[in-house]
Amino acid sequence: MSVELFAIMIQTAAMAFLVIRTIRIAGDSHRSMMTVFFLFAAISLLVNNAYWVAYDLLRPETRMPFAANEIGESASFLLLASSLSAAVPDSHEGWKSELIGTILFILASVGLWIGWSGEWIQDILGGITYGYFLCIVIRSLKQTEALSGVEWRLLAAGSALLIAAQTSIFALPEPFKAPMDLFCYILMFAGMLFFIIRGILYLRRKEESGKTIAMAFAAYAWTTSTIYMSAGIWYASAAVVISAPLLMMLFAVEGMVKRHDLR
Amino acid sequence: MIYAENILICITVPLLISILFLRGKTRLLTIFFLLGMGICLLAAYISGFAGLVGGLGKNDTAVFLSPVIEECMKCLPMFFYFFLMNPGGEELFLCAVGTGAGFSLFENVCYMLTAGADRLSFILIRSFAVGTMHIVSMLTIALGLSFAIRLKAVTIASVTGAVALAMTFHGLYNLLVSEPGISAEIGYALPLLTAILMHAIYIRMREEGAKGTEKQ
Repeated sequence: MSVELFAIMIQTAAMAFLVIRTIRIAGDSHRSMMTVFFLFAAISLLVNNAYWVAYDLLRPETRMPFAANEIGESASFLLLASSLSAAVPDSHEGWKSELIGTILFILASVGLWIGWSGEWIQDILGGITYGYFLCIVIRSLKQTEALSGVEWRLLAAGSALLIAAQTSIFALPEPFKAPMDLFCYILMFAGMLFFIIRGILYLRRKEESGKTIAMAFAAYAWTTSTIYMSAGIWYASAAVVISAPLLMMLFAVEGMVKRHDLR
Repeated sequence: MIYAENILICITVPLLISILFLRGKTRLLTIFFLLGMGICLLAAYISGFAGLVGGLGKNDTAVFLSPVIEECMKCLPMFFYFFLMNPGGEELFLCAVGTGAGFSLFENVCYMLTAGADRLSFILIRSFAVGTMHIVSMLTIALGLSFAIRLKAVTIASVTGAVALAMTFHGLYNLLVSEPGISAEIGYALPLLTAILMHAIYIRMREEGAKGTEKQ
């Protein structure tokens, strides 16, 4: 069994817990829009992961030409975006610069994915849905004021630096590729830790529901981006770590339901 | 060569005649049953063509392409009906069951003509596993759409999510049964277990719907 498969199995276990708990939350919330979309997203993620595990066990070391679970993964982004939109509706406060930054990040990410995998159609379609999800996350972070002005500037600079560093690896001579690769991983994992720790602090301090949910979903979005940009042991590590944002999203949704902050 | 079109004609004509004498929900179920059978034949053409164009073998086409193509084709009659007629939840479930049952019936008939019907184990698998799986995947879409209607949230996300879930479930089943062994056993059990779970959800939704009507 490969390390990546073991990591995906841990992730799948976290998702199974997520689904079971979310079913109860959906009942408690009298099936509000937020919880129903979240439940469908959770089920989609679980079935998608179950497919990955089954595929890796039955056809190890064989690349998938195309699979239904890729559509499931894209759908889960749309469903999570819908859940977050229901939890943190658009207050029509301006977020133009953040939106432009997010779109540029997504375009650059899709370019990198295509450069690494060569799978144009899958990466463009996946990029559209992931990009939409990321836009909703950024809007939520902005409109709930979950990040300070300094943190926004750090996020913008860090994202730009990450894209620039990842792109440079294509052109760098061989001796410089590994150090630059390591730098990218440090940047991505630092971002992951920031969002996860901040999200946990918001949960513990019982911060305003909207902020907590926005931060939890942001942690999931950044960790997903990290997984897409990783390979080998780093990929496996990120695949295990994503269990934390998954549980954070669950607890944040649960917190909102308990406080009856339903939309 | 099994002349699938001739088989389709042979099965559908009596049902078409019967529609003239049916009313209400029975007629609705029969119409979608017929559509399901027609969709099965079309999906087989498209899957075969896609497999040829993609250079995939029969097994790989069944694992990777067929779930996506078949679920897209199966949900078309339901979406057409939904967006045109704006039906309630009960009608959606009838539509889903009819389409799924018609699809699986025609698929099973064609498989039996190809592979024979002498092995009981093969027949049991075709009926309890594959046949049930097509109904379950349609019910998943109907359930998703039903929730979206109740929440007044029929959006691209909710519709795509429901269809994608059905596709992934179908893909997971095809993947599990593609290799012999324990994975195939799990795959064969999966549709029936899911059908039982969905039946429980359906009963609960009907009870809650009835309570809601009483309160009004």
